[in-house]
Amino acid sequence: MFFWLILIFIIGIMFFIKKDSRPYLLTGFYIFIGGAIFRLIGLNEVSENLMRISLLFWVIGLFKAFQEFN
Amino acid sequence: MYKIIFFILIIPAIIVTIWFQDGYILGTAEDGLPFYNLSHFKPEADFAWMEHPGLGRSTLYLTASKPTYIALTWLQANGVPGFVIQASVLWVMFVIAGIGMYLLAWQFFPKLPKSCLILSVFFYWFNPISLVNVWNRFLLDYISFYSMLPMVSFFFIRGLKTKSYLWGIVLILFILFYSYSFNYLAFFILFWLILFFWTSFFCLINKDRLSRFFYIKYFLATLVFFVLTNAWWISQLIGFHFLKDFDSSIHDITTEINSGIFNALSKSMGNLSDVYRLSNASFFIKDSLSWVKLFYSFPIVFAEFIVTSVIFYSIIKGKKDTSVLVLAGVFFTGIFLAKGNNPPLGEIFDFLFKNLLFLQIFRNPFEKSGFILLLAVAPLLSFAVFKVSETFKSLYKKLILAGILIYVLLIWGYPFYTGLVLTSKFPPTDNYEIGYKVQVPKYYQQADDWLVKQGTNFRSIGFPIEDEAVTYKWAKGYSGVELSTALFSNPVILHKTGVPYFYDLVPQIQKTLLGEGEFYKLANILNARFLFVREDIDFKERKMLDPLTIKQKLNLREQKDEIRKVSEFGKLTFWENLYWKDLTFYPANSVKFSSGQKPSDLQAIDALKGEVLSGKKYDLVTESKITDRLKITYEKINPTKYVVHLQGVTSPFILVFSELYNPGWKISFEGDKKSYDNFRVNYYANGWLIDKKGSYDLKVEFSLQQWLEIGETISIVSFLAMLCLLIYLLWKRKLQRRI
Repeated sequence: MFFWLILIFIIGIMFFIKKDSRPYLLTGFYIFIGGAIFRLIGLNEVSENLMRISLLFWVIGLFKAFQEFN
Repeated sequence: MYKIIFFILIIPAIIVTIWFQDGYILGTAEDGLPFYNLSHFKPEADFAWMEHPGLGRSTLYLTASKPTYIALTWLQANGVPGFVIQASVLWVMFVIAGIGMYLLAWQFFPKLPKSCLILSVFFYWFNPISLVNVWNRFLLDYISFYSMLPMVSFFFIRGLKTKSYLWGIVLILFILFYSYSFNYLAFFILFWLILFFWTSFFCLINKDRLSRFFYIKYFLATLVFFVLTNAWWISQLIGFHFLKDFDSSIHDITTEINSGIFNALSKSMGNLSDVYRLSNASFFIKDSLSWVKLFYSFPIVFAEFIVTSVIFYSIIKGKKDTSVLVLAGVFFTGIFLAKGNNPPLGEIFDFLFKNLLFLQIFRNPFEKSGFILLLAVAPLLSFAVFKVSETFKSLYKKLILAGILIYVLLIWGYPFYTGLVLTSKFPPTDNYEIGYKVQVPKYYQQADDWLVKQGTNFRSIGFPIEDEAVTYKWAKGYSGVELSTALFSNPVILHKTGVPYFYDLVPQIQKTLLGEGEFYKLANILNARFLFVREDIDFKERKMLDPLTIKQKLNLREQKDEIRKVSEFGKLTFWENLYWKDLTFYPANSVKFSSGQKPSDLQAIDALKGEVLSGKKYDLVTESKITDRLKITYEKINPTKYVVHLQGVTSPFILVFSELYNPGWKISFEGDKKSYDNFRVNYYANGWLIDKKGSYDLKVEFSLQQWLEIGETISIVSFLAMLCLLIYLLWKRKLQRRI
């Protein structure tokens, strides 16, 4: 449920902020780095949640990147 | 270029030499030991019905392995030792995987230096996914699928890029050498999913309608060419659906069970912090082998995150490059599938999993999606290393490349060079001196030769019988699926496996033997002439009954004149069923009715007196003289065809065929084209009500064999047509270039 809400929030923002794919991909990247750090220090649950959010940003970023091509 | 070819040839040669230097074949898990005696497995590929395990079963897509078994059996028949054949096969798998990945990476990134392109090859060979899901798993169909994927992807993508059907034809002809991969039906689905992904992402990056139209046509044309050239095994799958009551002939795994497995494996192996690192979370754990410790240590986990970060960084930098975008699309599709039904959006996959039957191949999502991930990551890594090193001076560039090469070749390659990849935590494979090496004792060959001399019209039953897996305590022992097919030419009941009716019947066999009832009756129903005990198994490891206990019971039965000890070979002791008579076909007119036909009901059936267990009542004349006067002889043409000679039929009777029940078995009378359906008798066998009087012949045939034969004709004609078309297209191309 939490991730559905995040997804809706991100999609909502997409319609209002006309940005290219780069911010989404970068955000996904930085969140991934954060998730990796938490994993390395042993906070697996926090890490996993960050990884999931990162994936959402990556998917939307890639979606926009494909759109830019067309 | 020659250096590249040299590395691609020599590194696998070194690895394979290390693995086979002692001259033993390798085997474990569900593959068994095909390289021990390939000729035992060839019938599975030749016919639509196989007599192993035990009571027989339909082969269906197992016939996809036919080209492989033809070639390998020929080699073994001409004196090439099994371990040499196996070593050569594995070397070829490595080399083709390497060449394919080099070409695929070059296809996507033609301007990358060769030092980066070769990195994609090394990483495709040595990485967490291939280490666990491919080589440690050690299933030939997995290895075959892994090996062919890069080359197939190269051909397919080349066709998309050049808009030429020629590459689709090349792909189809190439796949014939790898048809063994489709022994596992899941790979057939996964194969087409991967080609579908490539097509879809190319459609997404190309806005031109004509191009998109070509991509779709190209995908469909390749699919049609594939179906035609692989018709020999695909045809059986189609024919199977026309069998009445075919649900009773397939393995009884329900969607509910699959969903349970899918849930459990998603939770254990689908965490993104593992999937992003391509790490199989169920393997790289403390409970695993000692050499695995290195791979879940902090430095390696850190390095894995660095590698993924570098790939992500290169995607951001290269997002305007179509190749990067396509590979990233495939990579993240793989991530989504690999995480199973974990968040985010796992509910969608769950819903699709329960409602689209073909998606149930992903019940182990990480294992299957790992192939997709690897295909995308290896070329992306080459690009990523190039992109990162571009920002540095030349000295640092070399250091970065050296660093990543050490990481891939020395760290991930280490289990390969040392042979540790071919070990597991189950004895005796947990002994690093043994691993997957197997040496079958000579007495098995002696026993098999002796059994063949006794004839081919019976089965044998080996004890103790338990589940599917076994551990043999040989000098170079074995742990994996029971080896009835590898070790014996004639059908042997040695284990319980997930085949309908067989699965529930097998436990009854040992139970009846150990009980006080007349075992010979059950043995006759199974047409079992010999019983044997093997004392070379690790029965404690597998929670099986002590072979000596069974031996004692058999000795008691010998005292009651039910059986007689006839031979001993090493740790194998054979007894003969003194009441045995060839009951491959027998007439029955004394019908014992049981609506459920339970295995325990068989204790009351005496086949020698013309008795049969049936789920339906038949009103037959039960005088024993009738079946005594009736003479039945038969000729076995092949495992799918028999000609039965009936003499002196005066009254209706049930003809029993003691092979596993399958609606594909049909009879037809001489001169009559119509075929007659069977019904199940004796819990597991086939029966027909014969009411025609007199003396005549009838044919007993497995109907899917016709589908196989028609499919073979279509495959051969299609293959030749593809070859001619390829030659024509190449010739046309040459002409156009001259102009």
